Amino acid sequence: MKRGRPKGYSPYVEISYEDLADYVGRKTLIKVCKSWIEDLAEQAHSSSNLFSVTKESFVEDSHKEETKEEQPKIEYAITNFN
Amino acid sequence: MQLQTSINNYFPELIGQNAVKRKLSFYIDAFNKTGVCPFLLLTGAKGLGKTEFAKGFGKNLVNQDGTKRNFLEINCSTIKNNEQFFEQIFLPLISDNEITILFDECHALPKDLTMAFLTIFNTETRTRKTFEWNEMSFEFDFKKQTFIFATTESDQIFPPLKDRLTNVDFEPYSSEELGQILKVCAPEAVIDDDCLKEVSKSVRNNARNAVMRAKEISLYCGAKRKFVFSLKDFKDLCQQVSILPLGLTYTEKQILEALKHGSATLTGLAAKLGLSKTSIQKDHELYLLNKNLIEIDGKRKITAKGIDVCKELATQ
Repeated sequence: MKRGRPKGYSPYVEISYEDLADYVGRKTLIKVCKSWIEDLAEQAHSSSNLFSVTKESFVEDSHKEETKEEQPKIEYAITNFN
Repeated sequence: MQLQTSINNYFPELIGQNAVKRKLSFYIDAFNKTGVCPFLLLTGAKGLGKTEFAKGFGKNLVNQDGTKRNFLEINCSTIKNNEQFFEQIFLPLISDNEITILFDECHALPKDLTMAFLTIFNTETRTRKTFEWNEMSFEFDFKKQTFIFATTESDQIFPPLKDRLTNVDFEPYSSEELGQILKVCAPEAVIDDDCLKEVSKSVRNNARNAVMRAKEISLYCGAKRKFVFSLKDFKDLCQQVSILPLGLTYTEKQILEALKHGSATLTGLAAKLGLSKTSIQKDHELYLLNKNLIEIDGKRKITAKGIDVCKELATQ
């Protein structure tokens, strides 16, 4: 009788963060693989990632600027009595 | 006697509204001695002169260096939020400047600015107020800045804001005052008294309408090269520019004609005229009620005076 795990078996499954959020809240403690989270943290701090974050925030900022510019003008009149 | 002189000195071009003139004169005198003025709220029906009186008031306020204070008139329906107000108006025009600010149609102020004003105008005895918003500070100096609010819809102002303002209420003009306005605004025409009475009746108790009618009289006299404007001329003018008796509108005429043959419910009247019930209630029947041409007793009914006006309308 064979014992142990069958070949190719993995105790992990892949699930998108969005789908996971259907089951757990933002503050739920989740056990994850140490090496996986370390890899992920490293990636996040790599320059390419920083560039993309900066680019995203730049796009966001310019969008905000556009929204500011779109504010309609207040109608007013100034009278000088002198 | 002295007060009468001072109100005429402060508002020489404005006719009527003596109670308003007295109150505003009191605040002008107080301002000239103390440099402080309460936050005023001018209320009354449209065309009674709220904006004109606010300007007249502003004209009498003097800066610390003796020059006349500038007057900023803002249409509140164009203010959408705090950010827009502080960026477009407060920082460039109000901050650190000596200026009078009129918030016209102030019932239309956006909610967030109304809330900000609750803090800003809650001054008790202080003459300065710092308003913190969005990690920024805005300094209000009430010796430098005078605030006036005006509206026809005082019921729509947030009550706690209304509590912070000093109300100046406008009264309807008398027929004689409307006549005076007509004379002042059409100086090149000599209008005889009988004619003036009839013209006054056609301006719907409204000073703005009186000014507009005076312009029509000036144009009429100019076109006909006349200096005297008689009752006959007024009838001719009525024909030419479609002025109905008592200055009625064509919708009001339709309402009278619809009620001539019997009373009607509001829904029935709306169906007959093809108008909404709200429009009839808010825009058209108020003047008819004011002039006692119709009455409401469950149903809308025409009065004896209304029937007489209908007969007059039929002859036109």
